[in-house]
Amino acid sequence: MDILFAALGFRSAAALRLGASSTDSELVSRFVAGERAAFDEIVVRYQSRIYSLCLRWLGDPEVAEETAQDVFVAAFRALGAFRGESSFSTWIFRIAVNHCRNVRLHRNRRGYGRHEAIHAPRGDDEELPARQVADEADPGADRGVHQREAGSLVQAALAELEDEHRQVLILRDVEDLAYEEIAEILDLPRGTVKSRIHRARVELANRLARRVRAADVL
Amino acid sequence: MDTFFARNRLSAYLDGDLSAAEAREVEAAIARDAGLRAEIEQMRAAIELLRAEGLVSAPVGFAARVRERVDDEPMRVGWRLWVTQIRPEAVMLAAAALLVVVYVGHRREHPPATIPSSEAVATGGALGGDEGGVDGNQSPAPPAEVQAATPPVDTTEAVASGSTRLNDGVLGNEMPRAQAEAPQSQSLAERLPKRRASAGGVPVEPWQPDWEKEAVEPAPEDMPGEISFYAPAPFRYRVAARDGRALKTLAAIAAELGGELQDSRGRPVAAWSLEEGDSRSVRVAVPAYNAAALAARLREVGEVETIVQKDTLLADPNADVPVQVELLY
Repeated sequence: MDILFAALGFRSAAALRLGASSTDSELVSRFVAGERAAFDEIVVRYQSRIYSLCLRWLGDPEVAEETAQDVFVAAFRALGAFRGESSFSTWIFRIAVNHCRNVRLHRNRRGYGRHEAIHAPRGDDEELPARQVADEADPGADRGVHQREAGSLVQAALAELEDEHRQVLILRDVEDLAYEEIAEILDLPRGTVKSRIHRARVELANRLARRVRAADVL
Repeated sequence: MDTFFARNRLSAYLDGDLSAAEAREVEAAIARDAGLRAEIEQMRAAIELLRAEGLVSAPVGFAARVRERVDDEPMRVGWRLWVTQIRPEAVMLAAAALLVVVYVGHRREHPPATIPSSEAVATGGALGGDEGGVDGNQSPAPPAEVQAATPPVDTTEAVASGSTRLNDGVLGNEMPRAQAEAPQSQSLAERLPKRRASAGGVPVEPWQPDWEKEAVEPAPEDMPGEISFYAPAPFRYRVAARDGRALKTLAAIAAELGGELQDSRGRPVAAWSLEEGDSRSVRVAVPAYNAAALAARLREVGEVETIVQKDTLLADPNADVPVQVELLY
């Protein structure tokens, strides 16, 4: 029976019975065939990954959500033209990267200045947020607090990186994409991606080290 | 591998993107160099912190809000997507091209119905006046030196050919561009070269500007015998006349069909009799819906041979069309 289903281009009968999720290409095919609900499945499947990318890149949760929504709206409009020459995830990440890049440029022009991470302490010579200082003053602070601090440090250090360094780090270490996928998304040679990731990691490590030292001093 | 090369491969080493040999060399360098060891530990810690942050869940209700936004969007699949991808510039270009095609088609199928009146031609306005600009454009006069260098013209043949050209130009299809652009301050008769025999009997071709050459050089196939109609009419017949009254018979037929018999220059026919061995070229301008009837009735004049019959011109039945008849007796 499964062979028959496969021959007819369907998922296996067992998969259908178990309600196994569709592949990306199946969802795209259903959408192109006119099934609007297929797009809802795509949104559910990719919402966290796209939102994470936008949040790590842009820092502001509100801006990140608005941008992520824009990404899906753009994908909805263009999905009929998706030809499957790259994987769907590469395609939608490329849309997201372009949107984030545009939002960053727009915000920079509008005077928002450099990225400001919401949870993050500011630069090396600035004071840590009052809450963080209070937490550090409490020797009994729990592990969650330390995790939040670590997260804030990472986010702040990430925010200070150049755009081209930040984007490759997000794609590689947050989204866990392979070099080849990143190269395709950013339209760069693999070797460029590899060296850029190396420089970005060195830069991030140095900035984190400075922040940790600053925090220790406080 | 020295420290420098090893340092540049730390990231790839942590990603497992080095070959086994390279990885061993990096490990050896790290073992040798404490600074390198510190660097790789710092990088590893940074990566772990970043990965520990991991993916952030989308806000509650995110998918629903996206759905709300796309609910108002039409699904652009199939032809709708194709339509949305058409650039406005392309639409405008296509529209312009369509207009040109329609206009040209219209001009070809509905040529201007007016045929130059005999008066206009007879007064020497052949191509020298308004008719010269078929599309209403007045061409500029030639430079003074060109006018001065243009020899006077005196041959009847040239005048006749000029008037024939005029008719075809007005009909809108076959007027050569060079002629359309020719200076209009002179009539074609003035611009045509003299064809005089030199003292030795050899024809002398006077100097002639390029723009005139095309206007005066008839196509060989348009010159049967001594009859001159350089540019072809849309309907052309050769008739072997039965008797010397053929012209009068033809004039009567033309009148019955709403037309008028003219000579090859568009003027009323003056000489009506035909002598044996004569050949005359005449035109009959009739409404297009009578062109076929005229062709049929030519048999009353004599034996008919069809030379040209452009039926497409009958698309506008009310337009006058010239029918060229070459009478041989």
